[in-house]
Amino acid sequence: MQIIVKKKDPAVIVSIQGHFNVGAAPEFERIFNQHLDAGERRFVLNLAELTFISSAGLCSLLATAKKIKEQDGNLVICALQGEARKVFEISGFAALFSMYSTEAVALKQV
Amino acid sequence: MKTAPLTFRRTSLAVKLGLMVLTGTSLVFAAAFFYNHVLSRRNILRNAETNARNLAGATVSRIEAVLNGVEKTPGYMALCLEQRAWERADLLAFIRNGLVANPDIFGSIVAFEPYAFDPHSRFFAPYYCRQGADIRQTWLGSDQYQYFNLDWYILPKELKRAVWSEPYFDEGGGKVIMTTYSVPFYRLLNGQRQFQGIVTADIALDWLVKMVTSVSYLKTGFAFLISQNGVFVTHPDKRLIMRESIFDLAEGAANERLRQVGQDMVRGGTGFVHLESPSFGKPSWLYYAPLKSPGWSLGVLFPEDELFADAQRMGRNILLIGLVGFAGLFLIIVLISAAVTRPIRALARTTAEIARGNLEIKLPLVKSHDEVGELSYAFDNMRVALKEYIAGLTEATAARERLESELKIARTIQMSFLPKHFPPFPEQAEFDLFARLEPAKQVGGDLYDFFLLDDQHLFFSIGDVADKGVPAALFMAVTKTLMKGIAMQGGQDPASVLEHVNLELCKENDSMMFVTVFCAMLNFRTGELVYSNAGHNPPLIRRAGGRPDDLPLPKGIILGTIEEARYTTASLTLHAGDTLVLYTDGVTEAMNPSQDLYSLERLRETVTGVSDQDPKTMVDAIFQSVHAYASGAPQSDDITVLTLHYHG
Repeated sequence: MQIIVKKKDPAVIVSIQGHFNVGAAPEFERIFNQHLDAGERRFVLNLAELTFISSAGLCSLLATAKKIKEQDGNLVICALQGEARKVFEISGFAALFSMYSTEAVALKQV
Repeated sequence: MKTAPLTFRRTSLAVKLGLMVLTGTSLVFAAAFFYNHVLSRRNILRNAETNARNLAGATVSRIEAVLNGVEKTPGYMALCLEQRAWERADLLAFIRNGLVANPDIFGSIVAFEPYAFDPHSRFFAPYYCRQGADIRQTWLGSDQYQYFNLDWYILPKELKRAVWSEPYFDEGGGKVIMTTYSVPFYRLLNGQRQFQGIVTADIALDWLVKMVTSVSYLKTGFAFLISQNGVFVTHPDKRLIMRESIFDLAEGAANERLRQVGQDMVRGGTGFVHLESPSFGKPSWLYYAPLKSPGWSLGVLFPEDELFADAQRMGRNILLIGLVGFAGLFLIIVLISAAVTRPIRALARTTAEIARGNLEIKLPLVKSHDEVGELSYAFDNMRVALKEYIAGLTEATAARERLESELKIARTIQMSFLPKHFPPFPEQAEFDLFARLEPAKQVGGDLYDFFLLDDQHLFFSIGDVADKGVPAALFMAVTKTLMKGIAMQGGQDPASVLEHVNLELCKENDSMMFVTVFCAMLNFRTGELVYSNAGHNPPLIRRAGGRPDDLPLPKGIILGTIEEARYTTASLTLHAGDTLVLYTDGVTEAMNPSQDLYSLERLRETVTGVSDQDPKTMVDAIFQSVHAYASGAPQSDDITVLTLHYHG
């Protein structure tokens, strides 16, 4: 898995490429914690290139989302598709997050 | 560990060092000793030669002084006799006075040629000699004593010069060794210097014997005098005097060297020679020098061993001192090396103790800042490092064991909650059911369950906790227990069961754990299946003789996150020969070494490929296929499959 972070007002855009499984979870959480500590509160998670997410990945995502919410922040997801989108729907995660089709829309709504 | 070889090696180190140093110093000492020995021998020899030369020279000078004094009187007399014609009475008085004036002269003759003094007398040879305190006069010369033919007369006459006679033993006189100095005298007659006769002076040589005999050199060295013919004039061995010559001795001892030396002495040579002396019977040194006027030779002879006695004694003493010194040196070296190696020995003992595993032992304190000190310091560092390393290792091992035991506990919890008896309901002919859970090494939180609600309803479920280890196992246990408890209360559809379970799980769920669950109730009498889903993978349904399809699922969020989550119950009817395959994502997300997923497609193919209707055969086939696909890649999640075959 590769995580790309870029700052684009008013949010931090985090893009995930490849598999999001138990091995990638710590790095994912570390990046969000780092930006939370730096004072960032708005995040856009771009999952356009996410090929797979395991239950550990879902768990990590859920824990991170909850942490952001506790600090009065907001995390939105955009560009989710394919198998990963199916997993989100089956697991009911789609109902837990604000999901947008494109990064631009997500940036407006975050 | 044996200590004996250690002791041996330790001892030999000190001794070896001692021997090596000793060998080195011995070589130096031996070289110095040898050099000194050779040099001092040469010096001693040179000194001995000088001393012997001085001694001989002094003796020769003293002898010659006397002899020269003796020579003067007859020389003067000869001169006087040549000056004029003498009256008989004057001549006799002249001779007598000469004797009186020279106490060294024992007797004196003035012997004339036949008829030279008195034309009437053929013999004219008045002889004065001492007899006690008196001086007596006799006449030599008679028909029986024709002195003209005797050596003392004829030799100076023929040689035309003064001559010392061979020493001889005076039988008639004082029974002493005598020698005679004979001087020829002449007179001018008719303008010609004509031989007239011989003036002699006899000298007793007892003083000479005394003088030469009194000369001593070293301990037993002595001086001797030989005549022109090599006859001993003086010698400490009185038997040799006047009886034997040096050549007799050489012949007697078959000593060629002595003979050569004797010849050189007789010839008037000077020398310092090494030879085997018959007098001492051992190697000796001889210095010899001539007495010019009589043609005699003085020798100073001394044994070689006496010459070098001091040097030898000194050498012996030096050797003795060296020996004692070396013994001391050896002792000191052994002591020093023992002292130097003592800390090493202590170190070796301590190290042996460390090797036995006692890392608490204190290393002996070495105060010195030398190599031994450094070694000791390094050893102590090693000991501490080793101790820390072992402590770290112990801790790491303990941590790993703790983790492993934690995993073991998690697995035990997980597995103990799962029903494991198959077939579970042998008396129910309407369906067969089989399930297997293969935990990953890290243990996920998969679960499955099945139980009869009453005589016609079967409840079965599958789930996956999104975490690992003990917390996941406990969460799984809680979920399963809650689900069974709620379902067993009766009168609730699957959606209601899930809602209740969700509500319970959401309480106090700080760790943000969640679980996906699919649960269903089967009326095995009618084949009616009602089911609900909370975020779980859709099970496969294979209608009799058909291909597997995803079970159409109502929407439902995972359990444990949102309290107000609502679930929906769906239903369908199973017919004889239908099969349900419930699985967790451990199946479809199993990876091969190149990290490709097993995938749902592959699962469908596997299910299609199994013709047998026995659920166990189906489960075995799926696991076999997944394992073959993973081909040794580590299993990252639990793999769970539950199959139900409906017979109707």
